[in-house]
Parts: sequence; C-alpha cells; structure tokens
Amino acid sequence: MSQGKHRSLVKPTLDTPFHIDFRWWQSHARDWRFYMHRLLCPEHQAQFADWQNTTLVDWVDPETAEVRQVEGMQYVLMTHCAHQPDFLEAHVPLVDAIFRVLVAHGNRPMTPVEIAEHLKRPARPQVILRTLTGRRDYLGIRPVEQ
Amino acid sequence: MIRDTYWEDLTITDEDIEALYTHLLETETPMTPEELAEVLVNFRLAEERRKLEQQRVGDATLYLPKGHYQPGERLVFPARHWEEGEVVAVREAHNPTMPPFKVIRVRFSDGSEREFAAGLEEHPLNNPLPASKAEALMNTAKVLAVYGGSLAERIAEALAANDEFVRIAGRWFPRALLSEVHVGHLNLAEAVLDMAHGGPLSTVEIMRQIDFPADSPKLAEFSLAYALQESEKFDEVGPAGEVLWFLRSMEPRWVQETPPTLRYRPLEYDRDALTPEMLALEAELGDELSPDPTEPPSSSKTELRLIYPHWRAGTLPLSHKTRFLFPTAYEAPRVRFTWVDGQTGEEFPGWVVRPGKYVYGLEKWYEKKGLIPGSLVALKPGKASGQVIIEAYTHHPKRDWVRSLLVGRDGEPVFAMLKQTVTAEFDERMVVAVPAPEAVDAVWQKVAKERTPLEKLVVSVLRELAKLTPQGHVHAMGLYAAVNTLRRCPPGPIFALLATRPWFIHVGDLHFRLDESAN
Repeated sequence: MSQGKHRSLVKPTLDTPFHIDFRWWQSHARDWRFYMHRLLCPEHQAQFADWQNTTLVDWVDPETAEVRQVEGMQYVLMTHCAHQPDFLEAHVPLVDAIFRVLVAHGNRPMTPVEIAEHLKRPARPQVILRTLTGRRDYLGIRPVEQ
Repeated sequence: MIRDTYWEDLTITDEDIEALYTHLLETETPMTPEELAEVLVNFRLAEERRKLEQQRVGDATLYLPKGHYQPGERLVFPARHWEEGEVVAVREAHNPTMPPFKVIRVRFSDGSEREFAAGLEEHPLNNPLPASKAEALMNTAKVLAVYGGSLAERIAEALAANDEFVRIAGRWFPRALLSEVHVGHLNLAEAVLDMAHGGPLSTVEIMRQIDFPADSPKLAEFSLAYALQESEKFDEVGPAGEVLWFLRSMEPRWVQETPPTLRYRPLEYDRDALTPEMLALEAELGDELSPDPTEPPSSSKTELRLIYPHWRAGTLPLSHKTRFLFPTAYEAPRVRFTWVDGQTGEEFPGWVVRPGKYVYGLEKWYEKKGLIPGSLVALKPGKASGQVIIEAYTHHPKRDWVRSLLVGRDGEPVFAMLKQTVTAEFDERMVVAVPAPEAVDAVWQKVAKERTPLEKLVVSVLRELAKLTPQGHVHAMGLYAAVNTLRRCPPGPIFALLATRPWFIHVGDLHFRLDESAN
C-alpha cells in the first residue's frame, strides 16, 4: 500500500523542530497504544494490561503550565516510565531512541540539535535530520507545522 | 520578572540601535562596543522595569498557575512573551495523580485558544526566580560581568551593518556628528608625517601641528581620525586602544606586501596522516602557516629556529609561539612596535603584519649578528609596552662545517657540507647556510614558474641531503628547513608526504631515508 507522505514545501533544517504527530498514527491505522505499552516500565505494563481502553488525562506542561489532554497510558509514560534510568539508554535503533527522547520531554517540539543533546549515544544532528527527513515517516516523527 | 535566558537570547533591535545612537549623540564621545554594552544593558533594564510597571497598573492580571480565574478575565502570560489573552471557559481538570485543579481556556489576540492550569499550587511558574538570581539579571554590573563580552560582539555586528555609524580603532560614532575635514587638512597631515619620517604620530599630535579647529576636542579628534582612515595615504598602525598614524608611502615595502619568500599558496594534504610525533614537531617549529595547536605557550620567553624564508625577508613568524609577545589591534592590519636588542639595548622599528602572519624589521639585525638559516633566536617581552626583546646566542666567529646551499652553473641547487664562518648558535638539524642568496632567488623564481610539484621537490631534497650523512638518513625538521630554501611550505604538507608515500622509509625518531627502488 502506498504510504503517501505529507510534505512541507519548506525543507527541514537543523533548526526545524520535530514532534510526534499522533494524527499520523491514526491515519495509518497503526495502534500507537500497543507501541506505547511496550515502552512502559514493568509495573505500568501490568497496570495498563488493558491498553486498548485508557481515559484522557490533563497533562500540565512543567514550563508553561499549558494543559494538554493525553491518554492515561501516555501520561504515565511521560511522567514516570520515561524518567527511569534505562529508558533513554536502551539499545534500540536511532529512530526509537529519538521517539523516546520526545516522549520523555512531553513531546515538546525539538530540533535535531536538541535531540542529539538528549540522546544517550553519539549521534550527529545532521544524521538525525537525514533520518527524520527521509522517504519514510518514522513513528510519526515529523516537523511541526507552522 | 526577567527571563533566565534574557541576556543570552537578546537580539539587537531597532529600538536598541536608536538608544545607542541617542547616547552617542548626547555624549559626543566615540565608544567601544564594550562601553556601548553598558549603555544597552541600562536601556534594556529601564525598558523591562517600565513594562513591569505597566503590567502592574494595566487591566490584565499576571497569570500564575496557582491563581483562580473567571471567564472574561484578561491575563498576561510571561512564558508566552507577555502575550495577553482572555479567559473564555473554566472546567475541572482530570488527573488522578495530581491534587484537584481547574483548566482555563484562553483566547489570544490571533484567535487561537489554549488551555492552562489554574488553582494549581505546585508549579515552577508560581515561584518567580530566587531573589538573588533575579537581582543578578537586573543589575548592570552583574549582567556585564557575565554577558558583557557577547553583548559587545552583537553590538559591533549590528553597528557594522548600519550606515549611520562609523568606526575607527574599535570605537563607534554617529556619522552625522563628524565635522568636516577638507583636503587641505589632509595635505597638512601628510606633510607633518613626512617630516616625522612617516610616523607614527597620534591624532592629537597631528591636530596640534596642523592647528586643526577643535571646538569640541573629542569630536574633532575623531573626525580627523576618521578622515585619515578613509584616505589611502594614511595607515593606522597603533596597537589595540591606541590610534597612531603612519604615511603609507613611507612604510617599508615588505610591510605593505608579503615578501616573495613568505608567499604560500595553500596545498591540500591529509592532516589525519600526521603521526603524534609529527604534530608535536610541527607545534615546536612554530611556523606561521601551521594551524595553532591546542596547548598555549607555557612561558613568556620563546625560542625559534630561523628558516631561510624569514632570514631572507628580515622577518619572524607570527605564530602561536610568538603572537602573545607582540602588540595586536582591533582593526589595524599593520602595527608599529619597537625591537630591542637584548645584548646591546639598541632599539629599532618593527612591524606586526597581521594579514601576512609575520613580524618585520630584522634584515639589518640578522646581518649585523651574522645569523644564518638555522640560527637560534630568542624573544621575550620588553620592559615598556610596545617593545619586544630579541636575542641571538652570539659567540666569537669560528669556522665550522655547515650544510650549505649553492647554485650550480646549470642553475640547479646543490646541498653540500662547506666550512662557513659562524657567529651564533644554530640547530644542527636545520642549518642551511646560503652564501649567495641572489642566486637562490633565481631558483625560487624557477620553482614558482615551473610549478614544481612539492613531492618532486621533497624527493630531490631528501636525496641531496641524504648524501651528506653517512647513514643516508634525514630528520623531518632538516627536510622542512631545506625545502624552505627553495619554496615556502609549512611542515604539514611535507610531513604528510613522509607519512603516506611508500618511498619514504621511517627509520625511527622522525628520521627518513629514500627507497630509490620504490620511487
């Protein structure tokens, strides 16, 4: 099946912020809840065993106090599991590691330079940019639409 | 309520430029970017205080997550660059992991709506910066201590892009305040400098001698200095913070243009091929064309081995080994200073030529001391500012076997061991006496004209030098010195060839021999 990719006319650069676009997961009939569930710590994997039914929770941005509604499972992932010592250090492919960095920071848009600073592995911002602007959309990580 | 990163993120705006312009107009005094940074910080702090005052007296309330708000209430959001919005709805928050709080929906002026927490006691935004930190960000002296340098850089950049400002010797001034300097004044200034053997003279001294009208002395001084700077006849040669003038036509030729033996067209080579020992030797040699090593010099005295290009030009390299000893300038490409002979105390003029990366003025001194390429020269700071002491390790003349460069009847260079009169200590591995430099000049011209590849030259020089030692081995520094008697080249490209070509055999301790069978 063709994976038509929405592309901005403006070519992303090292200064372009990227985030996880959850609409991508919906439009691609991919169950991101299943993917998220795998990222939870063992304790919360058990708690969210019924991962297909979670309720919305008001998440408060720690810097701006802006409120965003996120699913309960995403909430515990962002506020608890993502802050466990091995979350960012896991031996996973680069795109998964980038996904984890974004989740750990509340899906705050980040430039490839910022992502590189938070990755617990040597990765040049140029490599991150190339990966995220390739032909495929990886895990719904996309440039923030202006 | 000033942001933590306020001074780091600061961009110079049109309002800032206007404030700086107004200040310069009022004070009628040219200022350095560092001085202007203080003006800018004071202006910005006054603006921020005024904004805070407005927010206090205005209709909008400062948004804090712990506050309780009603629809219709107007709020101002510091985290959104003080954007103002109106509360349009309030609801209960749903978050079982947090104490109960409310969510307010706010509509901003562009029509967008966002939700924010309200009645939330625990959030960093509820606590303004600690008093000490806030005070530091709002205190001119403390701001300048931390951010002064970067603010000055940004100011200089912004003023350089603005036609309304002019700069001389690192100081800025509004163009509109410059008083008229007519051609007659410049002609008189030229005559005064001519009488002073070209200079250097300060602007004030020139003003005094030409009787320049000075109702406002500082304005007049800057106006004349600017006019001198804009005229091609004059050269500003003062060290940083000092404005001194020299008549360009009376400057030595090799100050105005790079001497032929120092001219170098950069060659591409693989620096990664250089071994740690080669890199250490490169740093020790202190060639002005080599990249600076990371380690700064550890003592205020430095010792150099003279190479032929500098010996011939009467210069020394301005490299990491010597740069710290010489005066520099904000803008002036050429800076006048004074050489002091460490043995006799004799003083003579010297020039720092910043674009060419060399210091000039030693031709006669080399001759007087009887130095040859390979001689050791020591430099240390002078007792007065703008002075540099130079010494050679001289001794009674003696005849010694020294590697020498001759030019054959066929015009080809020949290296040979010859008895020469030497009067100063030299480095055995780098010495190359050149009894007839005029003949060598012709070789330089031939090498340049024929564009002899460096590799070909290195092979032939190594072959020649190898004949002068029983083992046929040549040290890398000897090869560097010898190649530089025929063309200018820093150590890097020569060492890269030694490291990468199979016909150069490393026999240990940076000694090489030529494998003729592989060539």
